Amino acid sequence: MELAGSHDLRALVQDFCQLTGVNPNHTQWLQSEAEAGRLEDSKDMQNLVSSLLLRMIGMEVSLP
Amino acid sequence: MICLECGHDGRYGSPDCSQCGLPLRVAPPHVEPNHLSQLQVAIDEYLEGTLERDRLLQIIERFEERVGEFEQRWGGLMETLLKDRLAEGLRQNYEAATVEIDRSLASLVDALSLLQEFSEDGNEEALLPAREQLLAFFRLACGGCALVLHELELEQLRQIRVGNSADFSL
Repeated sequence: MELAGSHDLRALVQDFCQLTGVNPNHTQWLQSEAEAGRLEDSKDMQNLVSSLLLRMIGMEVSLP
Repeated sequence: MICLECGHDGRYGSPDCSQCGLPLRVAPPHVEPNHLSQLQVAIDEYLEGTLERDRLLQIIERFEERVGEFEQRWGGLMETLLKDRLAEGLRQNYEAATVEIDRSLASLVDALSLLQEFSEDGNEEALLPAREQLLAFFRLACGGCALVLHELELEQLRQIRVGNSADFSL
């Protein structure tokens, strides 16, 4: 299968979730990954996880 | 997620399989049960002498079925690299992510080969390196997919921004 557009990329991620048995709710997934320290060996991943965690904290703070 | 003990397709977040009642294996570094955690803990239990060989073979076989399903949709694991399947317009934003996923598939191929050494030749020494390769696969696959999702989100934001600009210009 070719990766011609964003729908193909989403299908790829979905199929990886089915292969690995990971919950496709990616926010929870990344949070879990960060907590487990599994992404610590990649600078890109650190930046990505930090950004997502900050976004989550921001969402919590904005709640009434 | 599938219970690799009985093959039941259950829901996420449950500690036990709703069909066979067995716990869905999870241990550090995994946070929630998944196929890799089930397989890794089963390998540990076998090496500790608390899981029979036949049950481990069944679990390995069920995981290999998941790989087979993936291959049906995407072709052989290392047949064509995902980065080479990217349309030209996607290369700039998604090449790094697909390279990471291709690396994950290379680890998966190594793991499957080692598991085959155990299941067909009875080589128990292949199990620990197989476990390491499975963990490497999981790390790299999660990392690569997270990068894909991140880029997809950025793309959506870019599209929204383009939409807002159009509104302002009116």
